[in-house]
Amino acid sequence: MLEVTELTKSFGHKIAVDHINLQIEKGQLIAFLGHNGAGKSTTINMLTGLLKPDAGSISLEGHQPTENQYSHYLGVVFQDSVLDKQLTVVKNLSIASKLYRDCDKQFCEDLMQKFEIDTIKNQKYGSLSGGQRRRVDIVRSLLSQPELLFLDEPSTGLDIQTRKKIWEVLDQLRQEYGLTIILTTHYLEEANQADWVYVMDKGKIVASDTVDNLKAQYAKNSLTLFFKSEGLAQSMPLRENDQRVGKKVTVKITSYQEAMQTINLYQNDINDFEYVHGTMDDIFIELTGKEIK
Amino acid sequence: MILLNLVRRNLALYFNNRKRIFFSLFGVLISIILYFVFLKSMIQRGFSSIPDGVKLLDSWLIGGTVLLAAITTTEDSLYQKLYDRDSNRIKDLLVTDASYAQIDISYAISAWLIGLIMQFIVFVILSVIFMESDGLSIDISILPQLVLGMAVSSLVWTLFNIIIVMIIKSSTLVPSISSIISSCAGFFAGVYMPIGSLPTGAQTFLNYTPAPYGSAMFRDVLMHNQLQTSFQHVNPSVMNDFIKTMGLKINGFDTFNGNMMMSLLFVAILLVVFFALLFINKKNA
Repeated sequence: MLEVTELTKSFGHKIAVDHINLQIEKGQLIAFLGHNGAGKSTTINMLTGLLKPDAGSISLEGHQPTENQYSHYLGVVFQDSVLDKQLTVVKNLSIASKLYRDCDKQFCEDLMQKFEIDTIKNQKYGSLSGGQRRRVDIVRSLLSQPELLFLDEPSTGLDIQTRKKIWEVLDQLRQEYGLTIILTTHYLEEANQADWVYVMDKGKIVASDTVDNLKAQYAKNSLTLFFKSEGLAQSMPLRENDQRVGKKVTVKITSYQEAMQTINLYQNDINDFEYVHGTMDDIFIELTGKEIK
Repeated sequence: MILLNLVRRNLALYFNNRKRIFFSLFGVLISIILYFVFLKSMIQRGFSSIPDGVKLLDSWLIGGTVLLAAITTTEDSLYQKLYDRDSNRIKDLLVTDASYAQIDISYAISAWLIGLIMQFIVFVILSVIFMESDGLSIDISILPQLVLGMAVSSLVWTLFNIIIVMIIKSSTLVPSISSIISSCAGFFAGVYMPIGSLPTGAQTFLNYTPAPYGSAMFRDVLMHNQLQTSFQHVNPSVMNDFIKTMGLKINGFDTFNGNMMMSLLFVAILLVVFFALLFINKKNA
């Protein structure tokens, strides 16, 4: 559906996006991970046709960003709420819907119902809470019934109820008409539900795989053993990245079999144990480093 | 349809914001206050022998203030482009079927319409005020000519302010540029004081700007009949002196048509500047 080849963009001497390749199939939920300045926003801006690449090609259903039809295939939820604060929700949506050549009125009304906009539709957009605004932003981005939806940090500052509501409706839309979603997020756990994850660092894609494969490769599970005494804890040999604090020893484990073997080996020396699966945070730190960038 | 809808958005953003309307008419408000506080009595003293001189002065103020409204309201309307760009609102407009050119044209059309509407509203409000206070009567037959003048003024100042927006490029400069334009406009349109009372050098400089021709155009329409009545029994040199001092004759042009031609000449000049800037901006992009 979306094919990106050798996409490159520089600002002065700084290479923001460095020869990236993407292949995205219809109906997928794709997550873009990366710290601030990794090149996510520049990539999204090029994919949405807002920024001209220096080199490389973008093809969405066979259309290039320079073509008029291109924007018709996509919807964008920007990181900041960008609708007109002085106008009401319904006026904002009415104006936006008429900026498309063919907009299904019934689809727009259904969206308003699904995202529970009806009760706030006559309020000024500027007077809405962060969660209400975000729901309106998403409705606005879906007005043209796009094939591909870009969500740039959609959950920043939102409460859990709003986040759940948003994902509930988006999942429904994915099932109903095969909506493809590209998501950039700082909530790494939000990327857990993605079909495919791209991790960006310094303008390059440093990893690209399913969440499970990334976890298997980069996020080691950890096993914590609570020994009966400090002496017993001291007797356990440690490898790199293992930790010992008093009677507690935490070791990195690659498989559940290894965990069971370790527990069996020390079963007479311990009072308790804790087994924790690797998270997206671990993948992210493993791939992009611990330092603040 | 897309263009129409973009214009609808710009109009809604202006007319739904009372604070914005108030500040876009701030210069107009100052001119009215100045007139009532001291200008009216000061000028009146100089022409005390003229019958119904106060009605002439009222029309004179309406003419200049209507032009002031054209300058400041088109300016405020065009700043929407900078606000949209700096707040990233433009990005959301660009991911629709609207093109960059359509969005830009919509700002220009909206500014022209806002300028036209606000000039008419200022004209109506001032006419009612002076009808009540001084018994001023406005002949309805001058309305078509007046509206034509408003349309041309709105065009001149929309183009002028498009150029300003092209130069300043950022909304952070809006408050300072806006106050400079607003205060200069009052002098250039000859509202804060009659053009004839300015030093000769300043008068010559004003001849090369569009503002005095615009106000002279409105003043000619509004004051024509009253001038004939008030000055019918007075030496013609007194009337000529009045016309020159009060800025009804600029650079030898003292008729509606003459000043209209001069305004259209400025439209042509501003268009040349606009296309030159467009070319330079494209080259530097």
